[in-house]
Amino acid sequence: MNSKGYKSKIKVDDTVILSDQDGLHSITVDPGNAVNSRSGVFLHSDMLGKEYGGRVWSNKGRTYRWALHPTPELWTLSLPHRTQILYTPNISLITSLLELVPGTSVCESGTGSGSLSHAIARTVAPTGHLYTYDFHAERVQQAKTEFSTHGLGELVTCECRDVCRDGFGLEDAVTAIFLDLPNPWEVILHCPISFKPGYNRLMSFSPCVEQIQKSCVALRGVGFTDIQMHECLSQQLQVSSCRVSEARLEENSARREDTEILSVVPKLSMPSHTGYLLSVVFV
Amino acid sequence: MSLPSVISEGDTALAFSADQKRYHPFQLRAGKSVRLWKYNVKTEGAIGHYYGSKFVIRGSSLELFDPNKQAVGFEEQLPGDGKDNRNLLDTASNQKFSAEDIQDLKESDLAGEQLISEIISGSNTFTDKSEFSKQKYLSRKRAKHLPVISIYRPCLRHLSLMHYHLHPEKIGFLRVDTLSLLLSLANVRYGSRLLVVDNFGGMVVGAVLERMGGGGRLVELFTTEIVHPRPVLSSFSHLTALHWECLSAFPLRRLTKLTESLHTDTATQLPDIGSEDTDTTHTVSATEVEPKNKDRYVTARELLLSGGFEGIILATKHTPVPILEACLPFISPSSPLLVYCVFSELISACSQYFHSNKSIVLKNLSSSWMREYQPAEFKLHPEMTSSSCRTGYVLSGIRVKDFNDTPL
Repeated sequence: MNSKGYKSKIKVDDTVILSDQDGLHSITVDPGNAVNSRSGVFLHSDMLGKEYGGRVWSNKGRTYRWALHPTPELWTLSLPHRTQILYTPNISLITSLLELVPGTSVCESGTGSGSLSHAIARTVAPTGHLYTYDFHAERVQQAKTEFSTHGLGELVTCECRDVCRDGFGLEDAVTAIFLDLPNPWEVILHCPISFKPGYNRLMSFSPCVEQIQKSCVALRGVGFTDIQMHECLSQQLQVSSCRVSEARLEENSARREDTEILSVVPKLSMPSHTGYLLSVVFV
Repeated sequence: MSLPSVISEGDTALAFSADQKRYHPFQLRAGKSVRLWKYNVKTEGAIGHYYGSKFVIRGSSLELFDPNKQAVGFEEQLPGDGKDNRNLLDTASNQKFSAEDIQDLKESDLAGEQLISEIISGSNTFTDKSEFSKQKYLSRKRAKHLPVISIYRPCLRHLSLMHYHLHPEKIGFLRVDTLSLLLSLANVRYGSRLLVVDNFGGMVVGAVLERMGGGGRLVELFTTEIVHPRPVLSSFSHLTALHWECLSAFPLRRLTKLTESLHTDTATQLPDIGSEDTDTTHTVSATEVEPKNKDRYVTARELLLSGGFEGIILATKHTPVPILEACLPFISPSSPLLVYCVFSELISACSQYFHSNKSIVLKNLSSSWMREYQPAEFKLHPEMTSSSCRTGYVLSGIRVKDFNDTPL
């Protein structure tokens, strides 16, 4: 997941995303370890030397999984959840609205399960940096371990900190800040000092309208401008075939043949709310 | 390399109106005027200030404007101030100043918030309005008499917004959320090695180059006879020579011949794509002059022959399946495949192809939905109308090896 090229063969300590009909499962390759599942036992040692994008087989050779190279998007779908996470539709919009490019310095709180963090690190690499904070010590430790395993140790500084109480501890350091906190208005007054002089952006993600209302007041009070608010969802679709029969319009008319149509239709169930995104400018 | 922070001479910048509904690219040149909507404006007033700054158009010059220092309060007020409009009549005599009077006020050097205060003083009904009504009245007067613009730097976010509002059909209705999704799902980053087909003005090419930040390789397979200059791609004026060096073009119509010549050409050595330094063999100077009888697509050709592409973004108005099939041999296993079409009929056929193809897993078909809200403490609601309702379909999957498959 770092900015080096994709590898072709699986090696020890690699992060591999295994995919089958039950979903995605990520592993860190350790020759003494195995994936135990109801579809079979997959020994890590059997995977060594196998190609990414190829199949790895259970020890009895009856079932297989696809071994995929990790990307932040696949990581988001397979990471162990310690908190509610952000998914790719929101993450991708945040990346664009914060104007992230290679070299941007970014600050984030809370780290949570590190879903957005991995995507940010991917986008700002190799010369940018991500400072990420969470007040939960164990989550911070797990996140740090994951960043290190995924080769992001240089790109990401992860610390245990209550940013609402203590601010970020950064001065003149970043041009983008992202907040995913239950009470972002408490940290907003600490944000301007962390920004570099010039054009900066901040975004805040809140599930509830009341949080947005309070955040707006705080943002205006500290001199943020151009407050915009969006909601973004991914409508899941499928191609559905349908046999269309013709209704009879006259008593003795011949029966017309059925036709087969293919139509792109929404799936019946989908996430209908994740949160609201506030996006502001600070100059 | 980061995006610029200071408005500089020679930059191409984007002017946004105060309501963020009108956009205008313009070039900053000291001594020259540009036309921004109905105003002729000299731009040197903006040079040296930070991007994101606001300016009021006073006469023909730009003056820095601080929205947080508005003379007439724009405080968020509690509702329920007891006032409503039951006794207010909508007549012209409510305002004692005529249009000519207001023009005279403007010419008498009364400007900015003082002008707004003066207009309010001429209104018989202002003090009787509810707080909500007062704020609406203020917003309208400011929009009319206090032309404020924001100046932004070109970047994916603003260019996407601008082009979508100016001519959405030219960019295939690639709204910012859809375009962003393509970039993330394709894992676009510094050092990416991607194939792109872009029939939508170059919006995808520009966005990918911005996210690659000058590192990696992007081969654009073009479907026209030659590579045409494209105004949408040209608007990515913040991209430097280092960004453009990553881009090379190759005609799609010659791709199958390349695949054939590869299979028969046993002397071609393929670099091991497992090695860490894959890019050292592919640096070609952008300023190299190629002799006339040499293939002008030589850079792209060499890149394609060495294969190992980490994904494809196929944003096309043509039938996608044959294009995708032609490209698959050049794409490594475990690489994202992204297809974007404006029409559901085109994406439907491609979706079926994905489902029947054993070399593609994690298939997903979606369309992005986005809604803009009016953010405020007491008036928070979605925007009343949206002119960004339409966008296309995104089909994604991951390429894997098949039994009979020998990717390059």
